[in-house]
Amino acid sequence: MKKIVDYIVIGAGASGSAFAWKMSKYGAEVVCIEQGEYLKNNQYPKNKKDIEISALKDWNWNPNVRRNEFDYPIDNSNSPIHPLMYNSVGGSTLHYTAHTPRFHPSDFKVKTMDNISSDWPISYYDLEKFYAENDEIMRCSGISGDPANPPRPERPLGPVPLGKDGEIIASAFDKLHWHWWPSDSYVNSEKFKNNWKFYGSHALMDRNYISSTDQNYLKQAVRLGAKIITNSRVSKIILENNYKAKGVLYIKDGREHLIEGKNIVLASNAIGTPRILFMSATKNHENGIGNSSGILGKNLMFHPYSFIRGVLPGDNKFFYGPNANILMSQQFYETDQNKDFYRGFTLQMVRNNGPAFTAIELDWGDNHHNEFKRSFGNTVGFSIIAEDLPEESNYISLDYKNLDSNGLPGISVNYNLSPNSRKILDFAMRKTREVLIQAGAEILYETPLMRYAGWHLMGTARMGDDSQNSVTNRFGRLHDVENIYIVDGSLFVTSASVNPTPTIQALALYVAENLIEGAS
Amino acid sequence: MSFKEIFNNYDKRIIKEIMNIMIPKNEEIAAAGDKGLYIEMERKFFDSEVHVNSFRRILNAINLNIDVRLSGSFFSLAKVNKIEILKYLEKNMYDEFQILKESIFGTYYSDDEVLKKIGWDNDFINKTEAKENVWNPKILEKVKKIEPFWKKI
Repeated sequence: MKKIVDYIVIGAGASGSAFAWKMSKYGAEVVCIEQGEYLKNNQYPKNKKDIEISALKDWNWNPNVRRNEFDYPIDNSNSPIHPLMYNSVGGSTLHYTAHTPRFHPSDFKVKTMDNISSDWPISYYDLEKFYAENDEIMRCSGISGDPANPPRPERPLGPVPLGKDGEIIASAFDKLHWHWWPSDSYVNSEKFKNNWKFYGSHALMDRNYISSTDQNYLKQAVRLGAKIITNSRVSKIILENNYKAKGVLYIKDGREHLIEGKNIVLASNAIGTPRILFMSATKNHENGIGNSSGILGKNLMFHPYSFIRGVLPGDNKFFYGPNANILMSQQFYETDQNKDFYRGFTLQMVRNNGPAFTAIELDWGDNHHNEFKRSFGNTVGFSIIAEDLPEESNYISLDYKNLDSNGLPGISVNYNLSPNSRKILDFAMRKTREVLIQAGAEILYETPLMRYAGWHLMGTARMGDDSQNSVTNRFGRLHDVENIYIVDGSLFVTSASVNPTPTIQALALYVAENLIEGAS
Repeated sequence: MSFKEIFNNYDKRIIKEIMNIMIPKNEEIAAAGDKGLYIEMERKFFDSEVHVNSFRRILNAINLNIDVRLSGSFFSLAKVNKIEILKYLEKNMYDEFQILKESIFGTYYSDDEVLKKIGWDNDFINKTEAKENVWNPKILEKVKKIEPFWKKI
């Protein structure tokens, strides 16, 4: 390894992997530093008898429950939604539903469209070719022609079959004359076609069926010369002077190491990235690197979720197929002036879980067995994913009371659900009941706000043209330091109401390409 | 520390009682606590500090409950009062109660006798449905008639 590399990428998840691949392909020398490990196939729960137990413990989405050595503590006591993530090579793509819709053009221009919040400094069309490039690498399954979204090329793989339960729900949407469309998905429809199987609870499934960046982007990047340093936690970015970074300090095997780079790229999600920038504070950057605007860590957005599950009549076995990327409806996606809220939501159909997760969602006590018998294998659910608007009062900060395994500060989350988000969810719940009743289902239970649902972390280092109101420029480069870039969900200006992974990855590819072209 | 030392016999009795209340007996299978699943739950979950601490906090809250103290013990209460306490804890100690609930239900629904009764086995994830499931393009006929309505900007 040369003493000074071209790019030090911090984080080997969805975005860091994509960036590392693009830059390695270009011929740059890339080193990726990842706090977690490179998991072997036999470490996935598919080979364990107790898959649902794994999902409740070692593979829990919640790092505070999982508590792997390479997780860091997150104090959620001031947030009704708890952040979820997976820290390893591949990041949260190791453990996600792989539901992969794109943002709409309007999502980038909410100020222009609705006179709220802020516009992104870039548009859908700036990312369009990177969405397509990402879909190729991640092997997107889906089908063109969706009337709710702009036209786009055919996906690399055809759609995943809907299953009988999906067809019942599709028919219900048709009867209501509402939009629905088969989900875009990084689940491999070709492999599913002749092997229609149980996907698994909690998005844990056979790794052969789902696309994760450790298996595609990173493998290719390593072949092209990229290096991955695992089990290594970055403690600080070191500056050469006030405006230029020199390298990063990381801890591996209990010892601190310095690696120097021409450019530093943060890809540690919208909590991990500001955490590193805060921890890197210096005398002249006393509130954290990149924080001259004072908004680093602020404007934290989750996607607030409600959930409704109904029971369909009969003794069905609706277990087979993907768990949560079957079909979606964007009938109420955009702002409607006749409603008392801005922006909208996506409805996402969810299939049955295995026995433990089915039972956990039900009431306990004397009626439990009856409820279980009625619902096991017979339900259909809807995740309601609302657009969350950015607010500076929603923020993260360092938590010096709860330290990680290297003695570095954890994170404190301060988040309140906005009245606008609550109104979206309340309206969406009414609409979801209509679909379920149209499908012939009885409502089993409703969750007005899901607590353990902070999968989508966004907005804490937003991009923008105004350095007083953003952390990076339109190319992901910090306004304050010339060679530090961000490529993850921290950059988001607004959140849309779809799963963000394809947009995060498209952004990473966009930042990389602009660096290659010298536009940054 | 061995598993046996984590909770004393009194605490274990309370945990088993909670298990019985949350998953009572049905026509064929004993209630979760009476079925002897505490030991299995210990094996599956109590190597996790988070899980042990959640149980500990729930037990402490039960032992400090005014009705429990007035009646002398959790066991002296009528079932309806025990349920009332558990419902209160579910609402007010949400995270800890969720861990407790997940541990109890996770243990019960990975027990071989239970899985046999509900027609499931733990290798289900590796099994496939007998018949092929194919994409049906006709399903899109109606929705394709909707005019594109995404906003151009």
